[in-house]
Amino acid sequence: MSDGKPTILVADDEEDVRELVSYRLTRSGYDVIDAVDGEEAFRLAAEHVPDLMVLDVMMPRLDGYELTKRVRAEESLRSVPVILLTARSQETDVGRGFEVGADDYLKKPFNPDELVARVRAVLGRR
Amino acid sequence: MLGVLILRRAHLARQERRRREMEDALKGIAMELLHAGAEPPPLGEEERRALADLLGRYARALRGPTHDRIVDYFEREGTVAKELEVMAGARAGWRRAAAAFRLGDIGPASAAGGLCAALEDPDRDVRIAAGRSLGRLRAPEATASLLSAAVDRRLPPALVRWALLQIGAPALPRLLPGLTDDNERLRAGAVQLIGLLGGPSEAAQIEDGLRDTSAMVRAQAARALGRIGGERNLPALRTATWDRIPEVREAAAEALGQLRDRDSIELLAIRAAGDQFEVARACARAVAAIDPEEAAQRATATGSVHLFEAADLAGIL
Repeated sequence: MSDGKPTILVADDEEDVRELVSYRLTRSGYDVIDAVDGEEAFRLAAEHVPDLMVLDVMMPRLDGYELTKRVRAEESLRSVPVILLTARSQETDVGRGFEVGADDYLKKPFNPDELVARVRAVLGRR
Repeated sequence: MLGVLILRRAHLARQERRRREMEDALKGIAMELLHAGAEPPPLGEEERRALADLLGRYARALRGPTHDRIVDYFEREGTVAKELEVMAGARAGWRRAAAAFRLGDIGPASAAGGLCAALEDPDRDVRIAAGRSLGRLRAPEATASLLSAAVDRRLPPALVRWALLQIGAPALPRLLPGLTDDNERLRAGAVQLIGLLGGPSEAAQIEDGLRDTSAMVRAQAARALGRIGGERNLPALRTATWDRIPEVREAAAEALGQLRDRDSIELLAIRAAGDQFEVARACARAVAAIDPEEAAQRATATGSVHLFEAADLAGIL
C-alpha cells in the first residue's frame, strides 16, 4: 500500500474500460496501477504486489484465466485477491474463473458502483 | 495521384490527432458526468460531438446508474430525438444504420419503438444495427418483433438469439404466445428460445410441442426439454424416440441423455443398434452419458459400432 491507500492493479486491453475502472477506483480512494495486457499485468504485479487485481479475461498475450493461474502459483502474489471482469458470462466461463482461483467475477457491461462494492467486500475479507 | 493520396493521409492523420487531443481534454468532464452527475460546462459544437462520441463508447461498457446518466445527458441534448429522426428518415442506408447503432450505445428505453420499426427497413445493415441495439437496450417489448424478424429471415437467427438472451427472462411472457402461432417456423423459434431462456416452469408448455404437427417444432421441443425438462417430461421424450422423423428421434435421444434417464437405456440401446446413422449415434451417446459402463457392456454384447464409439468417448474402453 502507499499513503495508507490500498493499491489495485487493473488490466484490460480496452482503453475505455481501463479508464472507467481506474477513474472510479481512484475516486473511491484507491491507488491504481494499470496494464494493457496480461504479461504487463504480471510484471507490474510482481513489482508492486498490489492489494487486489481487477483483470479482464479476454486479453492478448496472457488472458485473465492464465494470468490468475500464474498469480496463484507465484509465492509473493498467491494471496492477492483477483476479480475477473469480462463479457463472457456463460456458466462454464464463470466456473472456470473460480476454478483458476479468482475471488469474484463481474460481467460486462458492468456497473461501477457494483465493482466498488465488490472490491470493498473482497478487501474486507482479508 | 500518389501526391493526392499522401496529402489525404496526412490530412486524416491530423484530423485523428486533433480528435484524440480533444477527447483527452474532455475525458475529465466525461468522467465527472458519469460518476458524479456533474453537468458539462458550455462547449463548442466540435467539442460536444467529441464528448458525445466519447460517452457513446463509454456507454457500451457500462450499465446501472452510471449508464443512466449518459442516457439522461443525450436525452437533454436532444441527441436521442435526432438519432431517431435520422434512423426513420435519412435517405442513405448507412446513415440510418449508424443512427440505429448509436441508439444502442446510448441506450435510451424510449428508442425501443423506433428500433422495432427499423427491423422492417429495406436495408439489411439498418435491420442488423436495430436488432443489435434492441439487445443492448434489453427491451422486452421488442421480443415479438425480434422473433418475427428471425422467422422471416429479416435478421440472422443468431443475432435474434443473442438479443433475446440479453433481454433474458422478461422476454418469456412475450414468447409464449408464439407457441400457438399458425406459422410453424415461428412456433419452432418460440420453442427454441423458451428452451434457452426458460426453466422448469415452462417445460409443460414445451412438452406440448412434442405433439405438434410440424417436425421442426417437435425437434426443437425435444432439444428444449433436454435443457429445461425434468422427470415429468421423460415419458413424452421416450415416446418421441419413436417419431417417424429421424431428426425428432435424434433430438429426443439427446434430451434423454442430458436428463440422465436410466429407464430409457434399453430403448436407446435398441435404436443405437438399428436406426439411421445420426439417430443411432445420438442414442449411443445418450446411453454413454447416462451410464458409460453400461454403454461399454452393451457395445461388447451387441457389437454396435456406435456404442463402442460412445463408450470410447466416455473414456471407458
